[in-house]
Amino acid sequence: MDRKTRKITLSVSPAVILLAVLILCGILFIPSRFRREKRSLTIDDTPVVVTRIQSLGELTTACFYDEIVLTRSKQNTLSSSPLGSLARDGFGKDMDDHLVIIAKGTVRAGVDLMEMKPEDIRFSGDTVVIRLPSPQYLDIIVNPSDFEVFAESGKWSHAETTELQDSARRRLIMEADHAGLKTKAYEGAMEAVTDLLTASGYTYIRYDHIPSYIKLPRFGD
Amino acid sequence: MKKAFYIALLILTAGCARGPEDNTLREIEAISAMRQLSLVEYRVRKIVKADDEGEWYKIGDRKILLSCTAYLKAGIDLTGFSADDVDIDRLDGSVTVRLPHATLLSMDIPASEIREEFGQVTLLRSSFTAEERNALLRQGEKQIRDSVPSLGILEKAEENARRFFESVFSKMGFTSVEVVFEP
Repeated sequence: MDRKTRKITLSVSPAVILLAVLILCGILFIPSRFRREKRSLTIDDTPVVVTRIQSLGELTTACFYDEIVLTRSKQNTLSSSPLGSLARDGFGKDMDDHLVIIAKGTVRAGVDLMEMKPEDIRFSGDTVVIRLPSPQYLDIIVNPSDFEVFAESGKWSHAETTELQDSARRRLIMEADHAGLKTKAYEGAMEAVTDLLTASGYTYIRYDHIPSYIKLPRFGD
Repeated sequence: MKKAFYIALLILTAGCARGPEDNTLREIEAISAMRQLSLVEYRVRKIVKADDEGEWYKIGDRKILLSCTAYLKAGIDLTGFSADDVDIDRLDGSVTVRLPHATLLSMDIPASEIREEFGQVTLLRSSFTAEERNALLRQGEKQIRDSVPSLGILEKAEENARRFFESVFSKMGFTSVEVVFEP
């Protein structure tokens, strides 16, 4: 039994060695570009040029996050041909080009303290009377990393793509309006300013001229 | 022996089964409260260029050159700010404010300000897709973010923060205002 096993081992071994040598030769001598996997395209390192510096005084107090699906379709040569019509009408097959993008956007809201005039804040003993500026959307952010191309068929130019991506900003503003972000931002700004003034030793903080569209909770609500 | 094998298989497959945590979805609050004071905005320009020679089986190359504008805002995150961070000396009218160091608070690259300046695709290559262009811009976005420490925006934000709080406390009647940045 032992001799038989040894015979098989001896007869197989040269074939295994030959195969191993061939694999090794393949790895060593086949040009590297034939072996490499599909590589991702990388950009060149270019400088970041500062074109403007602006001082700010924006107090951001509320942030809104939403995910929006952006879709656009257009006819192509095939879909507008009789064959395309047949496919659409006869088989219910859509031959149009489609671009579907998921946008993850953020709207940051608060008040711009730079808009405050000297008369908007009055100190009297341990009391402060403040008129805060109206709340506003300070940043609407949908960066390239916030876009995910979910489906793409046909050719879509840069202009067509950016137009669709830009519509995300308008949609985000609508959603933020609907969610009452400005009211939340105003409430947050009042809290922040109250905390700062209380920490500075003031006891009574009163807010003047609150915008009419701000529906703040009343005492006892 | 067979029985033991099936028991072992059962245990192994049970171990591979998805736990309840796999089915839970990540929940994000649509509106969240924050307290950030943006003190400086830098507008920057960036050229995003790529030359795609393609895989070994592709003939020809394609080039693209995009330019984009980014708006960077830096300032102080006041989320943890409390009365303990303000030391008041009423006798000599001085105040010391302790603030965290400035950070990058937001970065905005509007799609409307991204331009394709140049594009060249040889006959046997397909043009850049929306996904490919976005992938390139994503890399550009990362390069801009990585450049923040060398732009001087954080130093400028701290300088403006010092000026801002000095102005606020001076209006309250304090004669000496010290702003200290702590990690």
